[in-house]
Amino acid sequence: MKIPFFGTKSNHRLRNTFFLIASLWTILIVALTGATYRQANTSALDAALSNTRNMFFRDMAYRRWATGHGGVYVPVTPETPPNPYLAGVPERDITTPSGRKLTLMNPAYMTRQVHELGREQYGLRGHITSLRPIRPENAPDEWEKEALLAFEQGEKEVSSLQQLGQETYFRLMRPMITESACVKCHAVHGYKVGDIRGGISISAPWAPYRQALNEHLRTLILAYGVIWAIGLLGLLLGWNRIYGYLSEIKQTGEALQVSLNEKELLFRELFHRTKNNMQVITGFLNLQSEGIADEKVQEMFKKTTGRIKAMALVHEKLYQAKDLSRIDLKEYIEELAGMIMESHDGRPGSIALQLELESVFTTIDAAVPCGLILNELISNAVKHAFPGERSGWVRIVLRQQADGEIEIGVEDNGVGLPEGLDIRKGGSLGLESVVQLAEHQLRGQVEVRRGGGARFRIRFSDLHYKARMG
Amino acid sequence: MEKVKILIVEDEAISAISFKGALKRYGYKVCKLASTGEDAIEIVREEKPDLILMDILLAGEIDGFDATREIRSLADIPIIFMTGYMDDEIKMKVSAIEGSALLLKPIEPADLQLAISEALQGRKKTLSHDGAGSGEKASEGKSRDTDCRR
Repeated sequence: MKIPFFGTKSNHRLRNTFFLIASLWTILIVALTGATYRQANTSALDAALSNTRNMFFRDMAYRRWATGHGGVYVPVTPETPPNPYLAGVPERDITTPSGRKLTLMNPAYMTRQVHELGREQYGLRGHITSLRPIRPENAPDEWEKEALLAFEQGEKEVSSLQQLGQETYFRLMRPMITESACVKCHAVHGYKVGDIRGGISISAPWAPYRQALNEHLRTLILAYGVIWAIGLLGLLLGWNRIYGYLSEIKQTGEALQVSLNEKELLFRELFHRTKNNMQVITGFLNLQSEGIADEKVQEMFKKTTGRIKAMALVHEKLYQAKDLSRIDLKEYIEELAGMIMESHDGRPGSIALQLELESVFTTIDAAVPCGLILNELISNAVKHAFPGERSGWVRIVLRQQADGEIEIGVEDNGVGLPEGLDIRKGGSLGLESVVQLAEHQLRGQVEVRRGGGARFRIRFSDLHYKARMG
Repeated sequence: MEKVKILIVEDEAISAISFKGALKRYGYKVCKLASTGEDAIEIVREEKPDLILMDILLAGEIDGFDATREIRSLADIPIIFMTGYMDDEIKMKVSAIEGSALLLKPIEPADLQLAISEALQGRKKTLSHDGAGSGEKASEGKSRDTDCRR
């Protein structure tokens, strides 16, 4: 019998398992680090988006303020000349009673100036632009143009990271929709309420965000690195223990296997020797009987050696068996019946042997009594059922019921049992043995029928033998 | 005098029949044969034997010693134990039981007869010495091969 798992080379397996676990741990930590960084990155983008969007809305608020006033008058300076694109607007330029020159600033002019200030002072770039700019310098760049086209398609907002010169910026753009207040000045340009007049893009430098992310990443790597190291250390420490334990188990398993093999060998040896010893006994009996002339006495010796042979055959079968604890009664009966028929050869009439045998496995505790019973009954049938030249058959039946009960039958179509013979009283030693073996040793039942020959049925269960091993 | 009635408790059928034959030849009566401890207790109740031949290793749930304990609570019957192998544990267990003896198998009929008569005599002696302290305990059956009280 092979004990599972330890029959194979398990050293490699143990080592490979260790590396597998270590690799999985590393992959896990790396994945976690990556995922956490990704998350931080997304957060930064969200923050930038939020900021730039708010800047846009602030811009729009101021624009509406200016629009609400219809424009705002500011002092004329070199930086703030009158707007040439407002040339046709009445009262574009006015003078205060004290002689200060003021000019009208439209919302776009205001927005542009504020953007320029913002760019100088904060690095933020705001750009008011349109696909059909009134002031050519307000033309959109590539990215803005694409965004404006998207707005025409219904897009509400466009944002992404873009390179502007050497730097990366987070750019956001939203459309300016013509409102009723806008129409007053801009209808002349062909805009109606609801049209997209253009858009404002806000570009915030990405550098500060990136710096924060890098620091975050550094911290992450440190923290996860520590966790990884601790995990690996724990694995190493624990692994030694586990390995030691597993090695012990493996050794025990191997030792057990060796022990089991030895035990099996021993059992076979034992069965073999027992069978041989029985043969020695038989030998002595044969030798002893040689010198005896009396046929009746010789017959007694022959009976005795026949019984011993029946027992020896059980041991022979056990020795040969794959499973040392059980033998197949079918094979046993086939051989026993053959032996008995052979030893009673040379009769005038012929006896046919009919075997109706199922494969039935049972322990040595049950097999030996069965063997003795069968030996008795078959020998009796062969010797006494067909006197003179009478011919007939002897049938042996072997089957097992669903509940495990074993049934053995020996029947013949010979002269039958003598009238008034009670197998439990009187009768021969042989029949008394059969009853005692079947009822007391096998704890079973004997049934005898007499019409048209003799019929014996033995029924027993071998389950109560499990407790002790033969 | 009434014939002595002996109960044989033995699960090997052929051995049981063999003992029965030997005992009958010596003139004893033999009860129904028992192959388990439980059967033995039943038969003691029914047939009240004068002596018990008890195989130690039996089929069924209980062994010869367990059966003896039960039987002794019913009646003080002398018991001759039989065993296929001898060790200190068995010797100790047997000597702890009053009115007991031990025979090692295979048992010669002559040894069996000796052990039985000693057991029955010992009993008679204790009966006639009643009340006289320990006196002579039920004697130990000796076979050529065993020595159970030392």
